[in-house]
Amino acid sequence: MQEKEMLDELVVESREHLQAVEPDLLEMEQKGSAVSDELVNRVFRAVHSIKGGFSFFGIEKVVDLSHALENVMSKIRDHKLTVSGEVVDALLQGVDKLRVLLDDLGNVEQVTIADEIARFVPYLDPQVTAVVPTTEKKTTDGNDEINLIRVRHPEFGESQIMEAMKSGKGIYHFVIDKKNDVVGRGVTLAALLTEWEKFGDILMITPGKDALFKEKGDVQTTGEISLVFASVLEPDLIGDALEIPSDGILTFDMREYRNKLASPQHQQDSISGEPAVAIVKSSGSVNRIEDALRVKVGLLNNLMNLAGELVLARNQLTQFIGKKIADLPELESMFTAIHKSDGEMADGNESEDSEHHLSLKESNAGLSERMLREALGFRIADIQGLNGIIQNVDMVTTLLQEGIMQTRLQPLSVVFSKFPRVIRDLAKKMDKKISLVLVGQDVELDKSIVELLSDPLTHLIRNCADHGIELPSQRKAAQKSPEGSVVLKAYQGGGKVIIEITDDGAGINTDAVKKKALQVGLITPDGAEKMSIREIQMLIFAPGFSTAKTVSDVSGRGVGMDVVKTNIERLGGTLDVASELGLGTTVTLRLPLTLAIIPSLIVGAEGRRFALPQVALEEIVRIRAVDITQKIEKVNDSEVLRLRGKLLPLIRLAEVLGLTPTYIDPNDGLRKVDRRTRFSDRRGVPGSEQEKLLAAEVQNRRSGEGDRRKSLRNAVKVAVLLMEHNSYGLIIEEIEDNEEIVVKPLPEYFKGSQCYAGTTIMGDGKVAMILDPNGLALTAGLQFVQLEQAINEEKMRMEKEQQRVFENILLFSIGGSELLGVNLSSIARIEKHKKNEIESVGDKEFLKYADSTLRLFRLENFIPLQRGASESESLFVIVPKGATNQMGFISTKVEDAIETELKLEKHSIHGVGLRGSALIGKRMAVILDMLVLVDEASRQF
Amino acid sequence: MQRQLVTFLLGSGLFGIDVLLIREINRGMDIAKVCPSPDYVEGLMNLRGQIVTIINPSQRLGIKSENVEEHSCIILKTKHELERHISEGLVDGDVSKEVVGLRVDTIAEMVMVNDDEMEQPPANVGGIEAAYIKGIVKLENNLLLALNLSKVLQI
Repeated sequence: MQEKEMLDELVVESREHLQAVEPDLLEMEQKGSAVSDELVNRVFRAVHSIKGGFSFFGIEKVVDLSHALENVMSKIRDHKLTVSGEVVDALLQGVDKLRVLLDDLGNVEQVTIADEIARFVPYLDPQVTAVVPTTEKKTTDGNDEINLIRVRHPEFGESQIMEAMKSGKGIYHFVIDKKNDVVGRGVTLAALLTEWEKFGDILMITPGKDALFKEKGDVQTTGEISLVFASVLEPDLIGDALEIPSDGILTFDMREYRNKLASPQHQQDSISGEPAVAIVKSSGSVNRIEDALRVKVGLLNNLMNLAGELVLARNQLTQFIGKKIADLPELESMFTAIHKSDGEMADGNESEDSEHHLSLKESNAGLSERMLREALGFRIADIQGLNGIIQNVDMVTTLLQEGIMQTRLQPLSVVFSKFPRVIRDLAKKMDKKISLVLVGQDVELDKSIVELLSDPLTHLIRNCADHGIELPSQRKAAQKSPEGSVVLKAYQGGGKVIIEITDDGAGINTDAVKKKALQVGLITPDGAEKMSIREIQMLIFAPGFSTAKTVSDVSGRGVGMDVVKTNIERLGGTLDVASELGLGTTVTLRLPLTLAIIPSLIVGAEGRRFALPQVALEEIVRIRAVDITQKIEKVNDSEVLRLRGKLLPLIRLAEVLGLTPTYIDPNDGLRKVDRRTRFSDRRGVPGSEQEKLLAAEVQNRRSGEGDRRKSLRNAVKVAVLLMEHNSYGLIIEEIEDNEEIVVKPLPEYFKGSQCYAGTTIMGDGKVAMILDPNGLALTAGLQFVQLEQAINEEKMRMEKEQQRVFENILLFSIGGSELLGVNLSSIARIEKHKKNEIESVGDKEFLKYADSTLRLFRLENFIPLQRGASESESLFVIVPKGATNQMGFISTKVEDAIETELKLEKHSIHGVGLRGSALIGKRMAVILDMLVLVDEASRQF
Repeated sequence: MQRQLVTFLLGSGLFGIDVLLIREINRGMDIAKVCPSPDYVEGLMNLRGQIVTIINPSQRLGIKSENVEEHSCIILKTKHELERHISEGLVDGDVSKEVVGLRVDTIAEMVMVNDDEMEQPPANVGGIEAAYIKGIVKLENNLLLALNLSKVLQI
């Protein structure tokens, strides 16, 4: 258990080392022969500590590879090898392989490191191999080994040993089985031997080469072959290099033999065989001091929870103290009252009591007064003193919370640092010249964002190098410097972190993009006409799009850019592109500082509160009660909102979540379950079930039940939410504050529902769910494509209808000569009354019912009409629908109700509340807009 | 082995949980309902800044919960917290990875139980599916049912 923890820690540490090594290697490459010792030593030390660490755990593959790396580095350090692109390539390849090994320590045995080691061989000068490997094999007396080898190779002797020693090579002996080691690998013996000769020299082979190859190639597929091999590779590496089990390799221990010879010359050599650690120490370079501490993320999260809790406790405390302070004047007056009554008591007793008594009383009163005053004084002082303390606690708590938040922040350099390598490799591969400039590496972002940013950024950078920057020849032709530049810049602005990736390459060819998009069916020819340049440029982020003429292995498979966009958006960020043909492209990412805390809007439905992330929120639309019928329509059973000429699909939050409908009981102010039927579509046909319900409701109101239930008469609030490609409206009931909320993961029990993205604890300590706009749309079954189609059809239908509108019109007059018309569906009912039933209060007219009143309006007060001179005894009161207040309009005569195709003429007559005029039969009628009139009348309440 | 069980009432039945599995017991906490959610989930609670999912075992077991003034919440330890106990074989590892609580009607007393006193439940214990019961202990004048948490907490 403990060992595993240590190993985990070592892996983390080693990864950090490797991450630090990479830029250093790149710097080495740039400096070439002028490389500083400090730089080389830094790399050396890093590799060395990896080797040291893993040798402790006996993970040999890692040890061997890092050892080989270390050997090359030590040669560079000793100025025996000049740094070149090739050397750095080999080293980088080694570093990459080390990373592969670290990523999957359980399966290191399946990874071969032969390729990497083979690349090191040319740089391993025999003289430098003296660094002591940490996993040193148990050595035996040199003579025994010679004897063992001589059993198979009688001719092996002093001369070979001396020869090998002079060249600084190690001597190895092993036996291979033809069947397993040659045939099993699927190679010929000749090929295998040639391969091996890359690593060293085959000193002896039995049976001899002649015997082996005499019989037509390698017909013989069985039998053993014994070899003596001389190589610059260390004993640990030879097995990995030749890919044979290292325990089958007999190592002839050179040093042992040397020591035995004890010649002065050899002794001198062995000095260089000191442990590497000693060398590092003596190099005199300054160690980089660690001023950071590794802390578990879980611990930080816990601290953050507690800090949040502290904030809450502070709020409660502040409230409590505030109340106490408010109580002080009362306390004071109480004290005065007691003091007074004490005084009265003393007065009343004075006459009849003796002096003794009197003084006692006096002192009693004085005592109680003093005590009270003291007690009170204490309390007042206490409470006032507390105030200062509270303020202090308040400040410290805030600072603490901020500080803990900051611990989660990580500099972008964590991600940025890998890009020099990416650009270098790509440039080499594609024969381009590219320089990379990194700006703002110290900008900090939440750890989780930094981690998730790595892939999308790599993709964008690769894209710059692959598609953006042209070949040097093309650049010259375009009169640009042959070296292209990519700038990766990060900065903070407007509460967000902005990352720009700019290249001075070819830019986005909008014509090509358009053509391609048409080809793959992303857009229609019609749509292409209308698209702005920016819209076309954004097409590169559409799924299934790629303009690269050929698929390269760098990028251009047509996946990727859309994934980049999705990933950035998942992080709560946005992505934008700006490009000029021939000049270059800039991709801009805008990211929130932290995922852990997000600004959100607190919304309510059926008495519950939810947090709606601001990222997704485009706007909030409030639809006045009178406009509902006009603006909310039904398409294919789904509600849509007409918003600035566009149709927006609507979802009701309470319905998607399946919340029980509730209302607030006006009697006790409590929220109660509502058993009434909800009707979302109010464009009912007169006489339908809904109409009756509505009428019943109106009746209820009039009978004085005072329906203050949350009803459909209220304005509707719609949060317009922006998703990847679409937007939709979420109908909510209450809108509360904007709040910065701390996101907590969704408990597993709720994973079955897509509606929520997480949970949070709000300022008042209550738990609230965080809504997931995408999930809500999915749950509601919003099918944007189908809906779009339906909406289009609806649009076409409406366009047609605009030419032919059939309406049910009520024709009436108000005494004058004009004939008035109003759509029947906007009227709740018509009542007939006697003229004397109307009561006037001031200039207001009312109709009185048993227990309620109906306010009456005269249309001529709103619209430019003439009131008739004569009024008959009976009047008709037109009660409109959709009014929040009880109102009716007075008419003198109801003439007819007809269904007619209205051909509205809007120019001859216009004004507030007028839709226009139309010819009905042979008469001209003024058609009123009842909704507007209701609205106008409502203002006079 | 002797175990200490915290016992509690669900309806009229007496149930028990090993005390080692319990982090704390709370009363009168504010539980926020979540909709939609599985019906055996009572809601979410804020336990000093930590979100705790409250499970209603009565719902799971098919018991009619008693109408008590204030329900109690038994907050369980997580798998991670119990790692050592589990590896030492002191408790079964049938707890959740997340912090969860059980809403019970009334907390009763602690009962010491020897492993050999614990009997296998019959297929059906007063309408409760045997899978939810780990064992039955016969007390003087009552039956104590030890809950099988892995089944009760199952998602």
